[in-house]
Formats: sequence, C-alpha cells, structure tokens
Amino acid sequence: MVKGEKNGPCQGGLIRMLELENVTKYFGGLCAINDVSFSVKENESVGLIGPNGSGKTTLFNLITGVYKCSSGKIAFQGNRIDGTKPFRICHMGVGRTFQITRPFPHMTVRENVAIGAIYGKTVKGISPRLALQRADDVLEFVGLANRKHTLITNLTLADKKMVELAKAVSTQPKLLLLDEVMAGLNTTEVAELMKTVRKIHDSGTTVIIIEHVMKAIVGLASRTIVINFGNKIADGPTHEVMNEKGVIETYLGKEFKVVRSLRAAS
Amino acid sequence: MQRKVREKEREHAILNKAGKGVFVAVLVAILFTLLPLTVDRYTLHTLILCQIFVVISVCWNLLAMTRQVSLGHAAFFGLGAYTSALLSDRLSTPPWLDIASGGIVASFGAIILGLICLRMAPWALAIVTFSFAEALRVISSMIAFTDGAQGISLSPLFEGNPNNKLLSYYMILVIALITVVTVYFVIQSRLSYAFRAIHDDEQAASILGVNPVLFKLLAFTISAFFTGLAGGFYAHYTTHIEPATAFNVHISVEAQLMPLIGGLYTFVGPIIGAFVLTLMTEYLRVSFGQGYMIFYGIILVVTILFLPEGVVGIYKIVWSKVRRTGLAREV
Repeated sequence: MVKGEKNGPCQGGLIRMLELENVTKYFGGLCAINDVSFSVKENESVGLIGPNGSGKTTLFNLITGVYKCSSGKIAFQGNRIDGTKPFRICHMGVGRTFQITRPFPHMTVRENVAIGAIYGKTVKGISPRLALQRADDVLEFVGLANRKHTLITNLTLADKKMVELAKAVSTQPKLLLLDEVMAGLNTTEVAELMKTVRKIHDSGTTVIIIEHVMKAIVGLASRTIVINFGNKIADGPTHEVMNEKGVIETYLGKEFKVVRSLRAAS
Repeated sequence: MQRKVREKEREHAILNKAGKGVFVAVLVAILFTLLPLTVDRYTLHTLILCQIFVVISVCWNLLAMTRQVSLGHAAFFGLGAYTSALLSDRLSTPPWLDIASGGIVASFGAIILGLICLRMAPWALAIVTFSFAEALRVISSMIAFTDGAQGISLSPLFEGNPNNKLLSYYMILVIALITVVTVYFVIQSRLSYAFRAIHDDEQAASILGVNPVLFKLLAFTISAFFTGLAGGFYAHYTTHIEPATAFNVHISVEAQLMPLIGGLYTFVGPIIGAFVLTLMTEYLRVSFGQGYMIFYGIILVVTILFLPEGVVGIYKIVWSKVRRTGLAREV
C-alpha cells in the first residue's frame, strides 16, 4: 500500500486545499465510505479511481454537502465544511460536475452557465447582463461558443458534458471536482476535453477527477487515489499507483489477466 | 466578424421586441383606464372581478415558477380580506391602510407556512397549503374574534360618491398594475434565473450557489403579499365577508386554472387566463343559469387537450407556421 503522507504529492503548493479526516458515510446499514482520510494541496491535480459503486461519487457528494457525513471531518482551506449547505460550499469555492449531466432543460446553454456566474460567489449576485457576458467567456473557453443559444435538450452528449463543465467553471471555483466527464465520449472528444481540463488546472484551479478513462487519469492527474468498497486502498503518484499490485488486482485485474492470456495464446 | 454582426442584429431584435412589449403594455393600460368609462355597472363589476383574478393568477404563476404548487391560495386571499375587514371594523382605519396591512399579514402567513414546509416535495406543499386554507376557514367561522360564520360588514369604498364603483375599479386596476409590474421586474431580473433553476433541478441549482430555501421563500412571500392585497380590496369592495367567501376553495382552484389556461410560466399567460376564465364564467352563468358548470368543464378539458401551452400557445403555433413559410421563401 502506498501512503500519501510518505510519498507526498509530486506537485502542488503548500497550502492545504481540502482535507478529509476519517470520513465515514452510512446509508442505513450499508457503509458507503469507510474511514477515508486524505488531503489535497493547492493547485494539485488528483485522480480518484475505483470500480463502479466503490464510493467515488458519494465522496464528491460528501465534499459538496449533498450528503452529510456519518462521522469524520471535511475541511476546505482550513474551514470545516461538513454539515454546510451545498450553496455555501459553492460560495467558498468548490465547483463540481455531475456524472449524469443535470442541465436545466428549459434554458439555453448560455442561461445554464449564467446561473453559476450569477450565484456562484454570493447570494446577492451580479446583473444578468454581466452574467451572460461571463457565461459567453466561459463557453468560449470550453469551445461551445457556437452553441450558446441552443436549448440544452438539443445538444449531443459530448456537448452536454461540456456544458456541465462550463457550469462548474462559471462559479469560479478554487477546487473543481469532475465526476466522469469523459465517460461516453469518443477519442477526439476525450482529447479535446483533456486539453480544456489542463487549461483549467494551469490557470490555478485545484482539480479532483473521477474517471474510468485511464488515459485521462494518466494524462491529467499527478497523484491518484484508489477506492474500493468505500476504503482507500492506494494513494500516491499516478504512475506508481497504476503499477501497485493491489490496485491492478482490484481495479484493473480482470482486463490484465485477459490481456495476458491472450498474449500467451498468441 | 460575421458572427459579431449577427449578434448585434440579434440584440437589436431583442431590443425591438422589448420596445414592442412596452408599446403593447401601454396600449393595454390605456384601454383598461378608458374602457370602464363606457360600460354599465354590471360590466364594470365583471371587470373588477377580472382584475382581482389577474392579481391572484399572476401571483400563483410566480409561485409555480419555483415548482411550488399551492392548492390554497384562498388562504392568503382570506387573510388579506379578514385583516382588512377587522382593521376597518374595529379600528376604522382608512381603506388603503387596511388593504396594505392585508398584504403584509398574508405575506407573514406565507413566511411562517413556508419555513415549515419549504423542504417538502411539491405535492406535499400542495396538500399543506390546501389544509392551511381550510383550517383558516374553519377557525375563522368558529372564533368570536372574527365574528364567526356570520362574518364582518364594512362600509363601502368611496361612500357617498356616485362614481364609487368606477373609483373602486381604478383602485384594483392600480393594485393589479403594481402586481404585474413587480412580477415583470422579477422575471427580468436575476431572480428569474434562480427561480427557473430551482424549478428544473433544485439540487443542481444549489451546487451552483443558489440558495433554494431563500428563493422559494421569496417567491412564496411576494405571491402571498399581492394575493393579500387583492383580498383586502375584495373585503372593502363587497362590504361583507364571511369565512365561506374569503377562504373559498373556488378561489384556490381558479388561481391554478387561470395560468394553466392562459399559459403556465409565461408572463402574459396568467393575465390572459384570468380575463378568459372570468369573462367566460360570467357569460356562461348568465346564459345557461344553474347548469353552466357543465359547459365550463367541457371548455376547460378541450382547452387543456388542444392547447397544452394555453392561450399563449396559439401565438407560438401561428408564429412557427409563419416562420416556416418565411424560411421556405428565403431558401
């Protein structure tokens, strides 16, 4: 097992952006997250991987305040945020996307993004005109400018994912949580999205990425955390974690064996 | 370059549209100011009813924009009416103060009710609001403070003035105008973004920094305030209120039907709906007497079946046809 504290993150500042301390979440009798602790430093890019149902999205839901922790502490920039309402956490500077895109169907792309620009920082908000301008900037940034007047329901999946990303970016987050933004996209689209995420990271945003597309994790995350059955089983520099025996067995195991047997057959 | 030009054109078109909107609004306002001068007392009474229902319908629609369904808007109407009547009867305060207080008390009622049940699902809120209105009706008919089932009588508005009905009309016209203009500004402001986001997906909205409870409560309060004003006016206008009329289920039902018939979630829809339904009810009642509800029901069902977007939807259907032929010509 790789201990995050021992190896340390390969990149990132000294300020602790996000800290999870013995976070546990029960759904009735089911333990979804079991005693998970890790911390993310400023401007780090962290990958979060694990099999389906291992608790990755639950972890995001705990950080953004959608769920309350059963026990444990979560701190963002030194302030405790467990038990805080989601909109407050957003105002503090945590943005996220949803795995299954959740656009506002009765609005255009631009209006969808404008909501984050209006309410992302304070309750009072800025004027709609200014917000729409900011939305345009964000859409330009993610490469959706030509789609801004389209109704969101008329978009392709890739574009919907982009809007989801744009919505999160429009709140001007310091910490961005990306929940499987690449899932269901083709190779070119993945490459495009990776470029965009890298741009966001380079502009000084700390990023945590949940992803099944390993290429994206390897390409974007300098450090990777592996979760299985709600337990953290590995944490360290991405290339080291990927070669961990435990990780390969629990997460990549099957594919690995198939490939090896195929190789043996040929 | 071309895109910029197109964008400018678009902005120009939007401005043009807004200009047209203001023009139409001013025309309508002038029409409603001059129209009552030419009609008889009965028609004037019907117009006053229309204006009262415009207020209620617009308020209900505003609440619906945040995905909150009220089945008991009569509660706020009745609160306003009773506050107004009690103040006038017990303390003999001037009518404008009674009516304003009616709105304030109704919005307080909404805040209390809202804080209790804003986290509920829409259908749960519907049941709670319905029970709230019924509870108020029963309570007001039982306690001595409100003179029980016998109700309260008050002196008519503009007593002694031969034109009192006309002046009453202008009073409710002003209330309706204030309501409509307020709602217009709410819809134009950033609030509408929060309302629509909450309507579509409350959780996703809160992730983007929208405080759902705050904005839902705000919509609830604004909605109740103006409904209370309408109630306060109604008490003075009819000169007598009792629990059965102030907290009438009929008001709650009309409040939902009017936006639905006119065009739900739109700005003009509820206004049109209020006029269509009020005028239709009066017409049917006069022509068919007792059995008019049958026709009323049939018309409602047919409208909802064939115009799912309400009367406003007609415009959309016609416009899309026009545009299609226009595009064909362009190609």
